[in-house]
Amino acid sequence: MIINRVASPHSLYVVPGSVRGVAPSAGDGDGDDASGAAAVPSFREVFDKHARYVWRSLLGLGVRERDVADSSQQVFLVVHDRLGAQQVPPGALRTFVYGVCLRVASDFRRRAHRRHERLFADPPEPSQPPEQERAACHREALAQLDTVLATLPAPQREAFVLYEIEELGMNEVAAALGCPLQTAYSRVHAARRAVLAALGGSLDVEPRRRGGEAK
Amino acid sequence: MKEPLDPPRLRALAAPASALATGLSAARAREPNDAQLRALEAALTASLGAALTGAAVAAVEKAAAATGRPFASAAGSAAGFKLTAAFVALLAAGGAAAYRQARRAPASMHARDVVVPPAAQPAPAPVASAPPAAAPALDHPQALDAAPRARHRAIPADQLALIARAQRTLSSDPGAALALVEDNRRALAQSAFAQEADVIAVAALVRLGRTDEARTRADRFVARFPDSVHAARMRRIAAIIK
Repeated sequence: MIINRVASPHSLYVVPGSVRGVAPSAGDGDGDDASGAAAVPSFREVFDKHARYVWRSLLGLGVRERDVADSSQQVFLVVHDRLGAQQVPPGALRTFVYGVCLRVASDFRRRAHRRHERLFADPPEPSQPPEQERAACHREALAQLDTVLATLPAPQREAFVLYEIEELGMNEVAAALGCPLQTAYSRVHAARRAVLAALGGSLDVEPRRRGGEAK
Repeated sequence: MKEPLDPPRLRALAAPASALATGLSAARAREPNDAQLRALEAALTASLGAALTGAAVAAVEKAAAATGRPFASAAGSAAGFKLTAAFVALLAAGGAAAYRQARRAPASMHARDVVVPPAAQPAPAPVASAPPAAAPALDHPQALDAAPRARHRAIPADQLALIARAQRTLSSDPGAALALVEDNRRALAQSAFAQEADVIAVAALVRLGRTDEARTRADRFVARFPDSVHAARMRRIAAIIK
């Protein structure tokens, strides 16, 4: 009863790429798996390489500042389990870690929603000394962005964060989300429209939705 | 990122000083600082319970080598005491980690909960005190327990309380801890805490000097839960007692 992998809550953390048959390694461009498929990286290596963006992406995905450390830890506990059980597909570690981040953040948002807590950052403090003006400006822009992101449907938010903030390749975004490439494009596109509408920006170039067809 | 079919990023398209560009840049810069990274690493190490495991095993091996014999019926001798203490420390660490895992929550990062082991120290390690940290825990994913932690999301409060009480009692009164889990054996065996109950029982038996029983139970545990998060630890203990 206790050990039942199928029923394990961790089985929710399935590597999407391996399920959907999307080749996830195409955009794993930072060479984190260059050591070869056979060598399982040590957990410390994984931590050193991935901790910063795990933290960052969780914040983008709606985890609050004061909970991001706990959530990051949760991500790495899952990653540790999966590495130990050799369930991380070779060449797809980064996509896999992002997939776990999506899942943990999603759980977090759901819990926060149940608690009726605010999902986005607190507004910036009302007054700042002049030397902190720039920092305040950054904080304000960030708070605005977080507010908009919190209003997006989860799939759009996830696609936006992975593509626009984490700057993954569209292939990797699709693999981490476990969706077809075209779906990833349209989610990013829809999220962009919402973000632009809310932040009042305008762009010269619209995202090329048809880019995937050139493949 | 360099895929030809990827549209240009918003950050590059937006006007440089616009709220959009600033916000995206700020979001991208939202990384942990070094202190936060270190705290995260320390909490992870504590969660995985590896530092203590490594240190305790090393201490056991050292003590066994010093006496020139494997641990057998040496309870009462100084070496025996050392070994027993190390075993108990080993098990207690596992129990604490399992307890946290059972709640499906990582060790909290808040200062009141985090026990960051100060430095390496030789065995014996008292059960209730802060564990010694020596092993580079994060370097050995395979040495740790790799099985996914299957637990129910909703855990009956009485069982949780029972296990927590047994774990607390383990250091001061292993007999009572053993009695607690044995008296509730039937209920616990059906619960999400079946493994934790066994681990506590083995820890208590070791501490009570009933090493034969401890070994038998550790072996039985491994046979029953080969994929458990505790299995590797129990195997190690069984091997050391032999």
